[in-house]
Formats: sequence, C-alpha cells, structure tokens
Amino acid sequence: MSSQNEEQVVVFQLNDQTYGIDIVSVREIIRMEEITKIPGAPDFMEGIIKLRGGVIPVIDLCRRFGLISGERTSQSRIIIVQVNNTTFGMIVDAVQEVLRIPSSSIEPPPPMAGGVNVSYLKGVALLEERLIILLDHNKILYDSEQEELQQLEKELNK
Amino acid sequence: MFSDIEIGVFLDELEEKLQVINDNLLILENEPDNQDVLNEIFRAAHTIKGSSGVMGYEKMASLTHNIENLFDMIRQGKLTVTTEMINVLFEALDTLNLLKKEVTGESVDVDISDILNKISGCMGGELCSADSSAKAQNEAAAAVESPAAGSERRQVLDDNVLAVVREAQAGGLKAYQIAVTLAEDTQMKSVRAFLVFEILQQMGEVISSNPPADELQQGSFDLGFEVVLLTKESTEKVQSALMNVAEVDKVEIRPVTPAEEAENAAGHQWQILDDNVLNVIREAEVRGFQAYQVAVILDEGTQMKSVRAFLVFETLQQMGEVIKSTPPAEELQEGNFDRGFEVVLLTQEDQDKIQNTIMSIAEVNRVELRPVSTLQTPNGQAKTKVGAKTAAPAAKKSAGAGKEQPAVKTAKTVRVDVQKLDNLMNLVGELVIDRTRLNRFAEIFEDKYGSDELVESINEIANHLGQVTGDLQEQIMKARMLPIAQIFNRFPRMVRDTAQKLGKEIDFIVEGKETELDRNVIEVIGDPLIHLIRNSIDHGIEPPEERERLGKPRVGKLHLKASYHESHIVITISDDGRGIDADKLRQKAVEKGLYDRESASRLTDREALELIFKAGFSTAKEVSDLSGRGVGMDVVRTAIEQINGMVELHTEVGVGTTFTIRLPLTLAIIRSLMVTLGEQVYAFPLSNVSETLRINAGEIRRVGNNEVIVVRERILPLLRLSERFGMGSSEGENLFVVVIASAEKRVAVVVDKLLGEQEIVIKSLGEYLGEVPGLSGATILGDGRVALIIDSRSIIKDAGMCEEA
Repeated sequence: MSSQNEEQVVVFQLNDQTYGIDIVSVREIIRMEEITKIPGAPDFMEGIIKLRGGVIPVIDLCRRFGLISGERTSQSRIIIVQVNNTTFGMIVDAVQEVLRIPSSSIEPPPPMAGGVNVSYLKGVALLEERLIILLDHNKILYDSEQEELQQLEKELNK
Repeated sequence: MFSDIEIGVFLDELEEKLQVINDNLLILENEPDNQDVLNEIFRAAHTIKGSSGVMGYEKMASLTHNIENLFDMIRQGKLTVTTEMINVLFEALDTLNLLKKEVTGESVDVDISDILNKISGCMGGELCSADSSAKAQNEAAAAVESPAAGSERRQVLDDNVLAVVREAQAGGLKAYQIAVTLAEDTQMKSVRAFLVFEILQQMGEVISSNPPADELQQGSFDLGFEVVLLTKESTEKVQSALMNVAEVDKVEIRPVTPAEEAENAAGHQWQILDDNVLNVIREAEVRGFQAYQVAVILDEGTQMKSVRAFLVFETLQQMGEVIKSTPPAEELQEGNFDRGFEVVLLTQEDQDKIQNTIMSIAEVNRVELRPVSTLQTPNGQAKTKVGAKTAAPAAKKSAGAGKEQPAVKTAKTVRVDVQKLDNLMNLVGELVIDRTRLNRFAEIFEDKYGSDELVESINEIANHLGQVTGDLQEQIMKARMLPIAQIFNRFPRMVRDTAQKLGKEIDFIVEGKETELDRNVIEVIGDPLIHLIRNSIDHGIEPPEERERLGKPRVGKLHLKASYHESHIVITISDDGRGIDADKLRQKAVEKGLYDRESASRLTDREALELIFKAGFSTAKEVSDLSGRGVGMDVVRTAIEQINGMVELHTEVGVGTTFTIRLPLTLAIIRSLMVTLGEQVYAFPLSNVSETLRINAGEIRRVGNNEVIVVRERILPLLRLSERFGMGSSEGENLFVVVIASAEKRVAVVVDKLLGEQEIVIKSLGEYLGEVPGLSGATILGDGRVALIIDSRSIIKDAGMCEEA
C-alpha cells in the first residue's frame, strides 16, 4: 500500500545538485572504469564499457543535460540503467543514498530547474529542506532532435 | 488446447517425417519397386495422420490419410509408381508444408481439395473398379487404426471383475473377454455398440465394458470396444452372432480364467510372442543372448508419454536389441498408448540391471521382466491356440515393428532460445576475464611471497579454472551449431524439379551433411547455395543429347560437399558440365562496356572469371525463369562476404566448374589482427587483412588530395585511421600499415602499433548506438578492456569513394 504513496529513488550528485532516479530502472551502480571511446558518436556519448560479458554505452549525464562536465573523482560512479530493454550507463559525480519520497512531496518541475531542460524531469521533491530533482529515466536517452535543436537555438541567441 | 511445447514437439516430428517422405520419394522415383521405401513413406504418412488428427489439424490428417491409402495400394501391387504420380506426391508434400505453415501461422486457408483430387485421380480407376481392393484397404486401415481393438491390447481385468467371473464360473457359466471392432467408416457408432450390447445381453450378462457403457452409448470411442460377458454359449456362437451385426468388422473372443488373470492383474498381461519373434529369439540364443519380455508402466498422468517411451527405447537399445514392441514403436512415438507398453529385448545384461536402469528413468512407475526361452514353449499353449485366430495379423504387424526400430532414432534434443545461449556465452566471457585477473594476482603473490605452497595452489586453481572455462566456451559454441543437413536436405528435391523442368538428367551427390556450423551461418548460406546449384544445372550441365554428342555420360554429375578445413567450413559445388569460357566473359565485358577491347584482352583468365560476380553480368544465351538474369552471382558473393566467407571458382572449359565457399564455423568468434591507435585497441577481422607493412613517412605519395603508397607496383589509397576516427594518435616517422581487402579492392590503413593476432568474441554495440560507420562491433579483451572491431568493408567503400572523387 505504502509503495503507492511513495517512490523509491536513487539519489545522486551532479554538478552540485541533487538528483534522483526511480530505483526500478537502476540495475546496478559501478565504479568508474576505463571507457572505450566511439569515433563519430555524439558528444555526450562517453563510450562503451563491458558489463556482464556484453558491452553497453555510457553517457556523460552532465553533457547530456548540457551542463559542464565535472572532474572524475574517486566519488564518480556509473549508474547502470535499464529502460525498455536498452541498458546504458550514466556517469554521475557521486551516488548518495536510496530514499523513499512520499508522492505528496513531489511537485511538477518548474520551467527551468538547475539549468536542465525540463523535458528530462519528472518532478521536484522537497524533502527535509533538500531539493531533489527527479529524472524521467524514459527520456534520458531518447528525446528528440528537437531537444538538440532547441539547445542550438539557445546557444545562437546568447 | 495444446500447449506450445506440445505443438513444438508435433512440428518437430512433422518436419522430420516430411523430410523422410521427401527423401524416400526421391529414391522411389528411381526404384519404384523398393518395398522398404514404400513402407517408410507409408509409415511416415501414417504417423503424420495420427498426430495431426490428435492435434485437430483436420486438413493435414485428411491429406496424409489419402497419401497413406495411395501407398497402401502401391504396396499391395494394385498400383505402379509413375513419374506423374511422384509429381503429384511432391505436390502433396508441398501442400503439407503449407499446412505446416498454417499451424505456425505463416500461412492461412490452405486449400487441399485440388491435391486431394489429384491423389484420388492417381488411384481413381482402382477405387471404382475393384471393390475388393477398397475393402482390403479398409481392413488394412482398420487394422492399423485401431490397435486398441487388436488382440495385443487386451484390457487387464481388475479384481472386482475377476471375483464376479470366479463366482459365475462356479455357477457353470463361461466368461469371455470380447473385443469388437467396427468398420472404419461406421456411421452412428453408438447405435452399433448398442446393438452389440443387446445381442450380448440376450446371450448372457455383460459385467464389464471398456470404454464404459455410457461412453459407448454416446459414441465416444474409437472403433473398438471390449466387454466381459458371462454366458453359457460357446465362443463360436457368440462370434457369429456378433458378426451378424452390420458394420462389425472384427470380433475377438478369449475365455477368461481367473487364476491366470489374477496373476496377470498382479503382474502384467504378457504378450503372446508369434513365430517370427520366436525365430529371432532362437537365433539370438545361439549367439548367447537372452530374451526378455519387458513391460514398462508409466506414472499416471505422465506428460509427453512419447518422450518417455523414447527414452526407455534408447536405454534398452543401449543394453541390447529391441526386436518387438507392443504397441508398435511408431504408435509409442506418437504417444498412442495408455500407460504401459511391452517390448522384447535381446541382451546379455542380467535381469536386475535392466530393471534398475529402466526404473531410473523419470516417470517410469513399474517395470516387469520375464525371461523368454524358446526351449520351453512360451506363454502356455492354450493361450496361443485361442489366440491363433488373431495371431496372423499380429504377426504381420510385429514383423513390421521389428524392422522399425532403427527409425526410432530421432535426435534427443531440447529446444533452447538462442538468446539464452548468447547470455551463457557472455557469462563465460566474464569468467575468462576473471581467470586472467586471477592469474595476475597469482603472479603478484609469487613476487611478494616467493613460490610457497599457497601460491602454488592459486596457480593450480587458476589453471584449472582456465581449462574449465575454455571447455565451457567450446561447448556452448557447439550448442549453437546445427548440422548443415538442415539446408542440404532441401536440395535433392530442388535439383530434381529444376532438372525436370530443364530436361536435364542429373545425378546429385551430397556429402558431409553432418558437418556442423553456426545457425546464423546456416540461415545466411541457404540462398546463395540454391543460386549456385541452379546455375550449375541451368548453365553448367548440358542437355543429355549434347552430352552424348560430346562423348560424356548422358547423366550429368552435380556434387555438393561440405567439410571442415581448419577453423573453416568448406562447401564445394562441382558439376561436370561445360565450364565457363574466360574468352566469352571478356567478350561480354566489352559488349557491356565495362572494358574496352584492349584492356579486356589483357585481363588474366582469373580476372575475367571474377567478372561473373559483377552485378548485371550474365552469359546465359537466354534468360530462363531460373537463372541468367545477371542478378545473382554478385548477390551470392555479397551474402557470403557478409558472414566473413569467401567464394572462389575453378573451371575448365568442357570439363566442369567448381565453386568453393569458405565459411567461418561461427559468426560469434573471429580471428583478428589487434592494433592500437592512441590509447585504444582496435581489431581488424583477419578475413579482410591481406598484409601488414611498415613504411617510412617518406614513402607516402600524393595523388591529387589523396595519399597513396605503392606496394609491389600497385597503388593503394592510404587512410589514416586516426583521421578517419578523429582520434589522437602517435604517428612517427615509421608507420605501421594494415592492408585490407574486399572484393579485389585494397586500402592501406595507418595505425599506431600492431599487437598481433587474437581470437575475439564479437559483441554488438547495442541498439542504442546502432550502426556506427566504420565499426562492426566491439569485443572484450583478456584484461577486461573493450576493443572496437573495424568494419573493413565500409572503410574500403569510403576510401573507394575518395579515390574516385
């Protein structure tokens, strides 16, 4: 019953902001490892790593969101996410904890949250004075070219 | 109604039987009198009829029923095999294949009326003119169809019945077990059964019936039923009374003696062995074998009885020879039996061992053994006498069953999703990496602590782990393999049809069907092979008259062969036809404007022959509907190269042509040349690497905007991989160059360093990345790093475009 009224999220740090992603989509969290670059792949595509004998793509979440990519530290992790049969990794600055967030404290995202385009976001949760930005895992990989176009437009307008 | 598993089993069996029919029809065409072949087809058709009927595929059952009838007539010598008939039968086979697709949902609403007409056309005259043959046919069909009514399948009477029988016998009544079989096409079976009951009740008292009386009244029984009657009348009287009922085909009566039955009820109702079987046993005894009658009873509610029966058969075959089975082996295979069956086994093993071995099979409830010796007359003369009346058809049947044993040799298999095997393979890959890491740790320990016992142990464990993972990897690879028979089996029929159409006579020889290769390869290779074979028949082999004129044997030879060659499979298709004339190809090339006369004449024979692989190039004098349209050989080559294979041809004018196809055993593992570029490792599949060179930066020349190098007087475009991929590199004065080739095109690729050859397991880059230009996948190296696999063909293509530009 309670699960209907709250969501379990993996909370991680990205560019000094706190983000959360639905735990259901997270397969595992691994330490940084050597990433093989793919020539000709998009900029946010960091490369591929091996996982359970297969290879999966890894994206730099910062760059995916159009933020400046931080330094890799000993705290950096790769969160392995599975969405619709696609498994991929996303690099985050640090993974903090798993939280249960009451649905009541989740609010729709404000038009602009932490510089991240809202289409990636599911909502924002305010929990004991902490602001957690909840990602929509379905939209991390596939949004549309539109997204990129908007980004481009913005840059041109600067 | 039926589970996917059951349908799967049915389809497997169907496929196997269709193949049997196909193969035997081909033989039959050449040997129309071969009884074995006729029997094989008959049995296969019968099996399909049985199982498709059970599964409710009416059309299939009806079609096979007709095929069966036709063959029955042929067997009895009422019809002779004609080419026309074979054609009809092949057509029927095609229809069956369509019906099979209907089961899988690949096709719908297959119409069988046309083919049914054609089949009845084949036997039409016979059916009308000879009533007797129709009747004989009915009888034969009835005998086959209702084993339940046969003497072999008598019900074991239970204690209650026996008690009543005993009482009645004390009261001076006789007890008979009566098996009634109705004619095959009986309408209103329930009414007939009712009539039979009426008559029996007039003569005495029916105390037991199987199936139960109420089921009989509803007509829910096959063709036969069995009752126990208490009466004062003689067997003859009962028999004739029952035979008077219309549509009663057969009545078998056996007196019941409670003493005997009691023994049987406690134990097993042993079959009476007929003379044929006894003869075989006698011979075997001379050779030092002991014969046993083995009765196997399965657990109640056993799933897939046929599989259990098959396992029991397998097991028994390992211990000796099964010479008879009741019900017959094919019925067992279809699962057409109750819970028990009985076989006669010739073996040198002792009784306990047989018993224990069979008991170890899952879901076997009970096994009973009884030694049979021909020295003492088996089974009590009295019984044999009574059974004499019915023994004759039984003998015929069991002789057939004895012969059938080899046919039970279906492959023992489970169906596994390939995805599961892939996952297993991935996990093994993980293990291999861990093994490598373990080795490294062992080394570190050795450095730190010297080689003491513990370090030794670690080394030992690491080595063992290495061996086991290696074996594991190999076994899983093998599990993905299928015999090439899967596609080869399709060809004899195709060759026959094609040859017939073109009026050619061809002796088609297939070798190496058992050669195994990866199922992915099998899927790809089918069409190219079909094409090459058709080409050979169409263009290669001459018409019979021409061959005779040339002093060649009238019948052309077409030889298809598969064999292993190192880590490759080599498939050759050779014909003894007219060969390919290089001069004609040169001429054609000029006509098509591919070369001018001079440069065409300078082409070597080999180069000229290569022309046939060019798109739009055909030398056939006229285009037939089979081949010669010039789309084909290039497709063949592309398909084969796609799976890292090669195709070559050797030809001699007037003597014949041989196509040789080399294929990798598997698509999952390739030999590669490993190179580095910057920090990363890349793999070039060896099948595309023609050589490696070390050149000086000064050797690079420029043609227009492009860099080239000259290797043995041949100009090769030079491509810097670092530029192509936009990656960092550490190129110096000395450059390492990998020359890659595909279809006569060569490109020299500059890399940083050559690491050597290695076998790598190909991993897809995954859906999300999709196709990355220039890359065909990735692989995991021994140290856990990921290396990218270069797609040589796309690189060559790109370079080719630059060159032309």
